[in-house]
Amino acid sequence: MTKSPIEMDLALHAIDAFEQANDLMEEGASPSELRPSFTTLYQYVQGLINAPWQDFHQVMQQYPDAAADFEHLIRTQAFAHFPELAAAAGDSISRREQEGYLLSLAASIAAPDQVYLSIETNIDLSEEPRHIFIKSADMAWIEIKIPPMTNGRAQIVLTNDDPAVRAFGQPGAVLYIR
Amino acid sequence: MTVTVFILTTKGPVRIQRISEEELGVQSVICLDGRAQALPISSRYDAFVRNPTGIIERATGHGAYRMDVDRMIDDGDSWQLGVYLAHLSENNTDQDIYVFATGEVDRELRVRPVSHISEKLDQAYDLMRALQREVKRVRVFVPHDNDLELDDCQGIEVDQVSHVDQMFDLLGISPSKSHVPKGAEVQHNPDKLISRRILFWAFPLLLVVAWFLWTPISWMGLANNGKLLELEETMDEGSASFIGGFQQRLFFLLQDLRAHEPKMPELVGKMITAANPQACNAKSGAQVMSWGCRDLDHGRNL
Repeated sequence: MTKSPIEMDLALHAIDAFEQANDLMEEGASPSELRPSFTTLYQYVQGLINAPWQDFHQVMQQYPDAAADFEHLIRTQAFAHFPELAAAAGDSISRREQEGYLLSLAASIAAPDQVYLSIETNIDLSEEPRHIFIKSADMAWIEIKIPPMTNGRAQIVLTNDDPAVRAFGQPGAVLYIR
Repeated sequence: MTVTVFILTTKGPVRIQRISEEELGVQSVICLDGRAQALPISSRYDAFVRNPTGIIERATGHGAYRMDVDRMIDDGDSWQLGVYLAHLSENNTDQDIYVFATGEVDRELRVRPVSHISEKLDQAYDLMRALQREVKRVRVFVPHDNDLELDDCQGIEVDQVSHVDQMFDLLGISPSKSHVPKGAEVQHNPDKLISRRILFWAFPLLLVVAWFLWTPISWMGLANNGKLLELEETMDEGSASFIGGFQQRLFFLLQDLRAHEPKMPELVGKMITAANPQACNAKSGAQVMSWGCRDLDHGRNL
């Protein structure tokens, strides 16, 4: 059932209030100022606000309940969901294809310590994807910002030791494009 | 000797440090100082390189590059003139040249006007003068614009060009595919180049050979099927051409190789001598010779 923006706003704030109340009722606990509220996470996933944190990975690690909220939101709101792959444990993945999106890693000849992560889509985009979110095999969340796409294609330069590159190569990692 | 290219921007000149070839599946990219940081203009650079939108692939034959620059370029297309020069300037000049350039380049290699030229030059004068003090050859290229007034050039010679060829003429160099700007390492994969060349030449050659062999082989088919009249007609048609003569020779050679050489029949005979001479008539006499042929292939008497 479609909700009006006012109803959505009220619902989100009700969830925030519930979480704050829970925090306050815990003995000796003080309200967490850094923990992103459900509303913030929702608005971020929707692309309505810029990242309200310096380090997405650290915030998700520090607040597992926020990470769970985020996972629920991104799973339902993602443009494309790349599930775990059934590859042999030793295999490193360099290409993933799902729901009209192709993600591929290519080594740089000019700079051998760097790789190119390419995002291609054949979908007529009414709303451009802005992020790739990766939940690595060891449950760490990594965020990659996608530059503006040209002719359905964008490219990001990363170093070989970037956590995103390592996580991309893990068959057990889950990726979302939003 | 080398050509070092600086792109004139409103925030100061940006030096092109290196241009390297990348795999064709990769988009061309401009990175900051060798780091894994792509400039926002990278997608425009890719379009400038790649055919059919761009002009670099058309000129160099390769469609994916990585360029490293020493400072950020945020926006615009005025980097194109300097980038084109960096890709195509030859490194056989008689001295090191330091080139400062701004301008857009279109498909016909015309240099289109850009804005803020005076500001860009103001930002670069200090570096230009410093290079001149070191007795370096410094050239500055901006698009030709009748409205542009370059009153205070502070002793720096500024050339207005309307086509990239003018720039190359003024520099005294010719555009080349094998350009290596200062500090640049244009890296070719030799194995890949060799296999590309082999493919380029081998395929048409195979087609010609197949076409040349096909006619004699088809004649052999006719000969095997006993269609001699048709064979004669097609061979007559074929012999009219120069190649047809060779094809006929090849056909006969193949036929000779395939033909089974018959063994000569053996002539055998025996002499019959009658015991009683009266048994024979007077004409033939007592001795009669009997002749016959034997087919050695099949052991039959003929």
